[in-house]
Amino acid sequence: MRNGKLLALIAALALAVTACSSGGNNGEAGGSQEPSATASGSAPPASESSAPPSSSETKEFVFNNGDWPKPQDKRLAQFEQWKAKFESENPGVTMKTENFSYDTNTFLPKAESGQLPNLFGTWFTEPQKIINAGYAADITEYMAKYGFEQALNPAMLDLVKKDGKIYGIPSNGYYMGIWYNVNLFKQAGLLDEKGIPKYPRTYEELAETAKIIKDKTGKAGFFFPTKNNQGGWEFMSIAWSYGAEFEKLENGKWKAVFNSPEAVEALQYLKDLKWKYDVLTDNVLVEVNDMFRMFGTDQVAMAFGGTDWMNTPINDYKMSKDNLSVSAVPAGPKGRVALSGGNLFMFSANSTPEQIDAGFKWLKIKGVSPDVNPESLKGLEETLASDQKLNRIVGPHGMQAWVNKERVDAENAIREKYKNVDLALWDDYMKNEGVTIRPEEPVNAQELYKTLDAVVQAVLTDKNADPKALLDKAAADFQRDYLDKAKG
Amino acid sequence: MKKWLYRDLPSWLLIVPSLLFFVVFHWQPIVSGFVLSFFETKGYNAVRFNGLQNYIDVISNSVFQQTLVNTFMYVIWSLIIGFLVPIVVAIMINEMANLQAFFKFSVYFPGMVPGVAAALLWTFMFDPGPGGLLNMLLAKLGLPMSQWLQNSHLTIPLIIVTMTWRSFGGTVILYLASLQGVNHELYEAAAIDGAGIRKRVRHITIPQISPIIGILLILQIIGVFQVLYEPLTMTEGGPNNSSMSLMLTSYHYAFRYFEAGRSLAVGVITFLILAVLTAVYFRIDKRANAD
Repeated sequence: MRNGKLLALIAALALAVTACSSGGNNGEAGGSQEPSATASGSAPPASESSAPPSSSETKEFVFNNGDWPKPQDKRLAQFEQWKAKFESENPGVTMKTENFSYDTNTFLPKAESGQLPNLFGTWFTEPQKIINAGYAADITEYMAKYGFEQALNPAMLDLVKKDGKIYGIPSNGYYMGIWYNVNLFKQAGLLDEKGIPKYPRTYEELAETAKIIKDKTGKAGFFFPTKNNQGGWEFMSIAWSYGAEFEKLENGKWKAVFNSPEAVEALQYLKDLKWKYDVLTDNVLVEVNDMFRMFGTDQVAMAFGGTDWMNTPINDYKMSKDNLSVSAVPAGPKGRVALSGGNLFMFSANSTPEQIDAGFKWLKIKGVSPDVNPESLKGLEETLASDQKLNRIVGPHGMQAWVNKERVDAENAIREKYKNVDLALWDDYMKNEGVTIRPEEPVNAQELYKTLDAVVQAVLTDKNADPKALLDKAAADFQRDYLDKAKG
Repeated sequence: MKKWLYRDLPSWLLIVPSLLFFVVFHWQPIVSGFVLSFFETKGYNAVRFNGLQNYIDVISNSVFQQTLVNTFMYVIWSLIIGFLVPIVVAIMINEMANLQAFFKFSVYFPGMVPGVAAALLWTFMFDPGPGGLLNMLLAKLGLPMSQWLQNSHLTIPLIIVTMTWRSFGGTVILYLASLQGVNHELYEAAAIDGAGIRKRVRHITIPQISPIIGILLILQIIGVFQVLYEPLTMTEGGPNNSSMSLMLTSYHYAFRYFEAGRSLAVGVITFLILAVLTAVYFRIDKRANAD
């Protein structure tokens, strides 16, 4: 009996060890795959001369396209047309489609198990993380081949570069502005004679405007998220305009400097929104999805937002497209500063050169390219035409990805043709006058946001919280936990 | 030895499927998780052995200490709020002459609500504004409104209340099963000796079900120690990390920052603490039984 138990244990251990050593092998294989991936990355210059003529015509392969709408999405018909076009132009390529919506919770398991589509979309905070984890393919060669590299907005291109190599294609960008719920502004008597909300021009004015809304309508004046790293993320725009800095490179070492008097002042402002003006939502443990719900149903009057979210409350909460007005961010004591972000496409690391090439062709059909011939603009035009038909907002734009002049002019002409909202509601945001646009902090931005989330939650839930003490501790912690370990 | 192995071969063959199942689905992930926690990782691939570095990083993180204390607070509050409730309810239901089935169903009912849905439901009840369900109730009673989950002193106890609400029914059923196994003659004998309900519970019921009380105590500690989705959906660890738990930290490392090694290090630390707690319990239990 005892022997039997022992034997079973030994058998199990042996199995476990083999299983685990095979796991180890996988790890090594992953490691050895890397060099081969870079080898293939360096190989293409040689193959460039030979590959294209043969690969585009003869080789048959499957291209997994993650850039595809949900089945119930009304844009589906449009995508089907593009797909038919793609397949007729590229015989031999079978396109398999998948609605891949980037989600930080599911990305890692998908990437790890090799389930990523060849082409997938994500947003600006993610590429460095994805590149570092080795899940994105180096596409430098194709960026040059298709002329994307020269035409892209250089500030946006920087976000997808590492060590001089390019790993992504930024498709659109935004910078933070302030959203206004026109219905609530109307109820509070805060519209001018043209029906445009009276925009607060400073953060102080924003607090007072929010107070008027709260007094007259009983609804929350301003929305500020505090969860899922969004509290720290939105706090940036306010703090910068108060003159605060977060990370500073000194003698090759990163320093956390967000316990400055300026940062304390910005945090005090946020605290006042809750305890002095009382204009925030009752529940402060909220995130941006709560904002879409509350904004879309006239429960909150103002919030940080840009163009990339503009259709979410319309889609999800049946808000009218004319209920949204957007201005540039208000000014703090040190001017106006807006955080920027946006969307991009990447290729999974296990994509073959042919699959990457197919991805670029797909994007060109969709109009994600610097070309201005009618063929390439057709994609954009079709997108806007279908958006217009679906009563989604058409007309306003955020940061433009393609900065060659012909492209900019051509895009504007198309937008003008399909526009369906009163652009006076958007003018202030699109002009964005006097606003400095800043990208996210370079080191451990997500961890920084998490650290600041806690600080923001503290001042919004505890009337006696001391902003200075909280920031001192947060800066010291962030320094020790992350910056001391960062490479200069 | 050989002869013995030969004789038992058919029985070995019979257990191979379940052995494989355990190895592949239970032990292999545990072992490889343990191994990975000593490596620098890229996704789930081990890149480089770095000894205890993951553990050092995780433990030296400035929120870790608070997280550890919080996790123990979850357990302590769950023992205060949630440990006695099922025992009392089970004894009450057991003593009932009528409607037993109805009450059994009623206490188990919340357990059928999906966990995340229950957490969201409670978030609505705990809404800190005048529109919150519980605040409306307080206002009707003329009491001051509460900040509920936003009051960092209340966050953990309130989360425990929701967890107790959801899961005590299952525990009640287990206690009931055990109670129904108690020999009725003992009660009759005690009744003849003039013992009232209180004495009967104290001297018969509790001693008779004490083994299962011990087991459920350990299960509860293990379960609550790994609390994850209640804080994840209700507070995301806030306000100011006051409801952050070890498993939530592990979750954040893995899925928010893609650092599998550190996530697994937190997992191993949790495992070790639980192993020690369980060992201590069995030691005490053995000594108590020996006496």
